[in-house]
Amino acid sequence: MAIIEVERLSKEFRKYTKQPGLWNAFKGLFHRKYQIVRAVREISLTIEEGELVGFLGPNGAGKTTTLKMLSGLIYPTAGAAHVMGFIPWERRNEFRRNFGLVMGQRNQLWWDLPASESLLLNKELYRVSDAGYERTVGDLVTLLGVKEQLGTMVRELSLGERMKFELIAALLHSPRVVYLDEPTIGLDVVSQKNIREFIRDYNRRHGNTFILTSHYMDDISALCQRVIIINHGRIRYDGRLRDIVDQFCQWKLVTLDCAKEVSREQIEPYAEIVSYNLPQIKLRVARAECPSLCHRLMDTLEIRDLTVEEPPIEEIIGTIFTEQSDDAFAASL
Amino acid sequence: MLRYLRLYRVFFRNCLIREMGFRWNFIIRFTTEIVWLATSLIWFHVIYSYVRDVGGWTRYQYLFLIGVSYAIQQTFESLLFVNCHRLSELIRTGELDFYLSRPINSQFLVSTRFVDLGGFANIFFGIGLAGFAWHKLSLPIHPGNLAMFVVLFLNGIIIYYVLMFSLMCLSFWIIRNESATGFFFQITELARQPAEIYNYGIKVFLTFFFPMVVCINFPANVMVRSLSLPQFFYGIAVGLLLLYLSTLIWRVGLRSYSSASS
Amino acid sequence: MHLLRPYKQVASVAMQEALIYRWNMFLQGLVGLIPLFITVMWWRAVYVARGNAPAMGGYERNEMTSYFLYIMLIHQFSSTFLIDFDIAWSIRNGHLNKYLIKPVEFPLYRWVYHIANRAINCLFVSLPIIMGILLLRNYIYFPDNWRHVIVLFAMLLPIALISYLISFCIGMIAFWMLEISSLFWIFYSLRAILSGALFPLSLLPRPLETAICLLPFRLTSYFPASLLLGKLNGWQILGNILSAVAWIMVLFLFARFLWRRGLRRYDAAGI
Repeated sequence: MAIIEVERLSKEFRKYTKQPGLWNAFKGLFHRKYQIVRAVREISLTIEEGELVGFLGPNGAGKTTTLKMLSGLIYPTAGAAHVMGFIPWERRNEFRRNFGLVMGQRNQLWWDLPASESLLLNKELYRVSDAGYERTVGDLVTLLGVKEQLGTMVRELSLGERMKFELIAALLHSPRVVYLDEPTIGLDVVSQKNIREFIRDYNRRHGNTFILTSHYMDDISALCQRVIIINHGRIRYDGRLRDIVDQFCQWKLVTLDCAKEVSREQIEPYAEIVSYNLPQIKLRVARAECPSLCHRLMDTLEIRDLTVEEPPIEEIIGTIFTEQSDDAFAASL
Repeated sequence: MLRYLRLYRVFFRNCLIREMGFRWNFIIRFTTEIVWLATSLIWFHVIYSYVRDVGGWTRYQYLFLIGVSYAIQQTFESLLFVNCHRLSELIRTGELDFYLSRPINSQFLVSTRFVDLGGFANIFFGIGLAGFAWHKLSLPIHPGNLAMFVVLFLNGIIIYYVLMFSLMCLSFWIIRNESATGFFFQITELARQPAEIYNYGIKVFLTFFFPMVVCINFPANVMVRSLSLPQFFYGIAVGLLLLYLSTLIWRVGLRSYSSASS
Repeated sequence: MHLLRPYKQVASVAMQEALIYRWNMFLQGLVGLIPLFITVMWWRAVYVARGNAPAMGGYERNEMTSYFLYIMLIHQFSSTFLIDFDIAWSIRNGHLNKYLIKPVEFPLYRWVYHIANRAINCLFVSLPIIMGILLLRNYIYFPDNWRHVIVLFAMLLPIALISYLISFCIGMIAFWMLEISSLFWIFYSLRAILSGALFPLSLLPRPLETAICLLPFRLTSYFPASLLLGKLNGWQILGNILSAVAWIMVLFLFARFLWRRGLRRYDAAGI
């Protein structure tokens, strides 16, 4: 059995609307309008133990709501889910003891006390043995390089250090399933890289399952083999990251570095010109034709160098994010 | 001057809209204050069912005092309290710079920016209560007394303001100032009691050194008991002096603020 | 007990945190003497006005002023002022999340945190309180029956628990209503009157007093204060103790009911 199984999970919310202006504000005292928002619509997915999966989606897409249901924080309107064999929203202690959550925008640590106190508290709450605690925390602080900061008050730590301790606090009970919600938000580039590498190593060594949500593409591309794109409450894509390009993007960018003068007219029959700045010419070429076209260009023209690029993955994903409605999308598939 | 009044009108209207946006809050806030008032009235009723007067204050004289204290408190809370309360946060976050860069007297701006209308209707309740007590006392209306009352009423609000404002200005020097608001309410309790319940030493202290008695006792006395002319002028003098003091505190505080944030 | 071991750590951390606020607690203890002082002054004036018929509601002057002193003392440990706001705020802002994902029961966690905090508070207000007692010693009736004092200390925790359960239930409203702060103030006013914190319930007409004593509120102020003043005979004391136990069970079940129902509606704002 897969470690996470989700079957047609749905969640609806009531959203109250406010109209502008003084008169409407007054009316609003007595009668409030609301609409039903279907945040999550029949999502189904399966995740195996040890996977590191990225959840992607614009704000309000339903990915956070899905994660909340899989954490047991809220109840679904319909559907079923099992994580490690438990139903998350029953919030069994055994489930919670094997589960960890890191929230980038919130901290779980006690602000005015040394970081070690928060860790000790988690140790007791999760019933980690003394020996296990020493070993695990010892490892983690060394790996993340915050050993010296154990006694520092959390309010005096830098953002990066705080995030590292948040990670340690969430991992010290060696959970089998961990959700990381925006773990690198607001951090400097170096800290982001450190945390990314740490997560990748940890996953490789311990084989636990991670679900990661992030708005930083670098996080996703560095860590996740598999991504699930959620928009308008539905799964738009579930598969390998690199396959997104193949599936959603039909063209490539070819850059020519010309040895001799080449005119527009010479190029035009072959492909669409994106930019023409001798000695550099950029062309937009359909995926399927690309290899043969490049071959021909190299044969016919005097070209010093030829580069083939794919459009950046953010762009592709961005177009998936900004699609307007279900029907239009269904039609395009 | 007109400019300040117009500015004030804008602040007022915006806050009115905002308050109404929180549907339940508006209605319940109104009810809350009435309940607080009712609590005082229940207490008043129980006490006065056992005695005829306390410290020389008969039942309706004391009721008048309650009404006046309520009206002054609510007026202060509606117009000025919220702003004083926000001051410590403005200082802490540096948002105060925003106010200082405007071509308007910064103390005015900081003190009047927001209006909290949840308690506004309650001012009239307080005045209504005082009016009811007044009626029961069947005293003749003296235009001179009424005028003095209005002046002393505003004077009381000013003293309240100076107290709260000074407490909040401590935020210029003390970082953790959250309990200042609680202290304010507990200190003003001293003002809301008839001065005659205190023993002599305390009464002198509260009249001359920490003039809480001036806020509410003076306007109440002018209407339902007696207040001499020298006392009246003393009261105004105290109000104006304290107002001036607040501008000094503000200036000192600002100096400390500018040197800290640069 | 093995199950409760983690909560020992919660208490430890909570106390460490509370220690940071020691100055605040001390100052609040000091400023808190003002209302006590005003109360004493008021009753002094009232009893002067009463002249020849001294006792009110069965209380002599010093008993009356001591009534309020005792309540203030007891409340240093048992008061749950602003707990309902705090819980409601946690619900509204999604702060509850970090407790829901851990193998811990939030209501119990919050209780342990509260009591730990209160214990430290008692430590740091003791100095201002001793000052207050010394200043007001002429107005104080010191309890003469040590058995009453023992019963009081035994009842401190149950009283605090009742107060906590009531505040917890009120806080649960946040699951259903959006803007609740004003409603909470209404509850505070009601609790002040019904518990006897505003004035002894014996000052009210008999039928009213009896009716109010059917509710649990009196157990947090009126009962312990009149116990120390020696106003209760053995049977009454026993009756109140049993009533406290019964109310704890009722309130606990109600709180649990609200908590479970509330969580079904929870939207975990801002993960």
